[in-house]
Amino acid sequence: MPTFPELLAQLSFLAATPSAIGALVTAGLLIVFLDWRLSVLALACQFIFAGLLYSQVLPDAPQVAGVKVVVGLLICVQFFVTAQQARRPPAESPPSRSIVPTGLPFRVIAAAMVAVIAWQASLLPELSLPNVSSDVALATFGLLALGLLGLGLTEDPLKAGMFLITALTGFELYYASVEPALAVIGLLAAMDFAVALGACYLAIIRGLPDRSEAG
Amino acid sequence: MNIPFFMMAIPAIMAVVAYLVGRWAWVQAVVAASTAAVMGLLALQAPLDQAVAFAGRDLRFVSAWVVLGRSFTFVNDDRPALAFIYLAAMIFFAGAGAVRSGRAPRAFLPMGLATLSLLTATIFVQPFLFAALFIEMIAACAVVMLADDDHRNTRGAMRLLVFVTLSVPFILLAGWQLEGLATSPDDPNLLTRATILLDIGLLILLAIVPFHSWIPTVSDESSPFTAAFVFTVVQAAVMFFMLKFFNQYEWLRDNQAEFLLLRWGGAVMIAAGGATAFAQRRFGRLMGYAVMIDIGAALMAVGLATPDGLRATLAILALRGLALAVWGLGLSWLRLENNSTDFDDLAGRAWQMPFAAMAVIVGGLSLIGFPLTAGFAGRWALYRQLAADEVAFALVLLLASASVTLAYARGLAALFRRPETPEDEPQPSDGPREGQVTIVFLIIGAAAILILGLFPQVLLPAVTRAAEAFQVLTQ
Repeated sequence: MPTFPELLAQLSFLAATPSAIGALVTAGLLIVFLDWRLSVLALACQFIFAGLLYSQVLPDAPQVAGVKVVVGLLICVQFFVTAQQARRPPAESPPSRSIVPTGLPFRVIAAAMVAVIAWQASLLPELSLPNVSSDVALATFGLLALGLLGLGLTEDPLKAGMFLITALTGFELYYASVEPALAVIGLLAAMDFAVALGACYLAIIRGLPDRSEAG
Repeated sequence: MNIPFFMMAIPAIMAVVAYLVGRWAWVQAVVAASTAAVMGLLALQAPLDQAVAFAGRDLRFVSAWVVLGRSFTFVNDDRPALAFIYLAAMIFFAGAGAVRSGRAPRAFLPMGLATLSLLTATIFVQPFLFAALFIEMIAACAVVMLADDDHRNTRGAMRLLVFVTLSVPFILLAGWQLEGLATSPDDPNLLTRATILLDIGLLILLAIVPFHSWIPTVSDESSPFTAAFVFTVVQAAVMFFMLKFFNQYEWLRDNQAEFLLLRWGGAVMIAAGGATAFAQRRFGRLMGYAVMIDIGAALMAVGLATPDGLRATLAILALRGLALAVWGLGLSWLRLENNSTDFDDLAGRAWQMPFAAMAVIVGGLSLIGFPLTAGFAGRWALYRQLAADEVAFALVLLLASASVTLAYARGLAALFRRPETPEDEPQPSDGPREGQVTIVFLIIGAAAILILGLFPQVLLPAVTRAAEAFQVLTQ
């Protein structure tokens, strides 16, 4: 079985532009689709792409990229279990609504516009991020912007939690290059966990059946 | 013994204990309150880096705990902030026993203790910029306290989590710019960028307009007692975090524009709270706007950058906690029957729950800064300062307080409204009534507010000692 650095070396062809674009596309999918299964899957893919980008940001510490991916996937497990608990439909309820939201054209256009703005921002010399490659800068701007856009479009705690984590991933990608201390990376991971736990808790509370319905 | 580790670990361990004894509300409250009391004593009395004889052994209290190159360090200047946090927490934890039957969130005490552990970390962590990360974790704990089976509207708690999360990157990036300043002290861009990033981060963290929306929403949707805890203990930690910035960085406190910004930030907060408070018809939401005005007043007092202003800030912070605890406890009982704080839903409730109504009256008046209540002392000190140089700000604060008073008067009129027909008169057996222990707590709380209102000089030594920790800020 290959070690994590070997795995990263095998996937190195994905670690630059494809990962940055992949991270943006998954963040866009989070905005476009409401279905929780697709959202959790998109978030998991986003963490894998972010992990590959971390291997660029911290080339001397590939294990940190591995830890980031593991933490991200654990957060996805949290979201998955919570969504299952909170969205379990009652036995007599009508079939669940379509995975495609009613405001689909708006969401697609908004996500595309924000992604383009993030791409252009990453190319501007005035906004250039020192210490990181243009791919990481694109992912940083894109994840931050799409995360914030998503936060503005939802009141659902679970989705809001996913968008918060998306925005934080964007920030952490860049921050890891300026503050690579293990203690800080660990604290940021703990913070991500705390945010995800808070969002999951609120989703569970929101999904509780009314007492009158529960009898 | 490593004192920072000990002081962070003990509340966390006791949080587990409090969770395990959750079935016995009073045991849980006693465990939590006594933990906070012991921690408060340690914060005030622990000898740092000295050997002391304890139980026949020599014990050395080490003041620093190093973890992966970062440290948690207890310095003497931390004592007032720690003592304030533990004392306020003790009052809330003890009071939670009295609210418990009034359906305070079940997670309040365990999560409150966990929050205490994280609050301690915010004070100790070095470089202290990383306190922002712990404040983020505190927000996550607050979310668990604010929403539960009985308080299912999650909007306010979610907004709190979102805003605090958004503030963290700004503060961490400001820290990075400051590190750059150490290697390139002649680069003015670094300082400018650090100041802007720090200002934005603190603006969001301190809930200054337009990032204030979680305050009235939380106070309206959550348990009043839990909301009061968050507004007191968590917001006080944020305020101490800001004061620490000014204390530590000379360039920040030499920048008069920063103090002007604080004064204006406070004024905007006060104006926004006052503009909307008078139209409120729910005690919960009104509490939120009153808190906004109080936070604004504290910011304005810091912005004066004088020793008296600093003392006024600390007095406002301390007395806010007392007022909110009493108000929250009283309101938790008043809203018990129909889970509403609407004036109409609470009509005539003062005749049914006189002690809870008294607590709401006295606590609310103190939060407004009404004369002869505890809250007046801090506000009066601020008015006197503002009257000298910033009369317009004093008028804004006065008008905003009048706005809250107006709405509050309508609420009190509803509380004491007699039913129109004798048949509607509430019977003694109707609905829940305060228990004996609750009555004792309510009376003690209200009496403390009135006594401090009559003899505010009692507070002066503690406030002066606390202000000494930040005295460099006003030099």
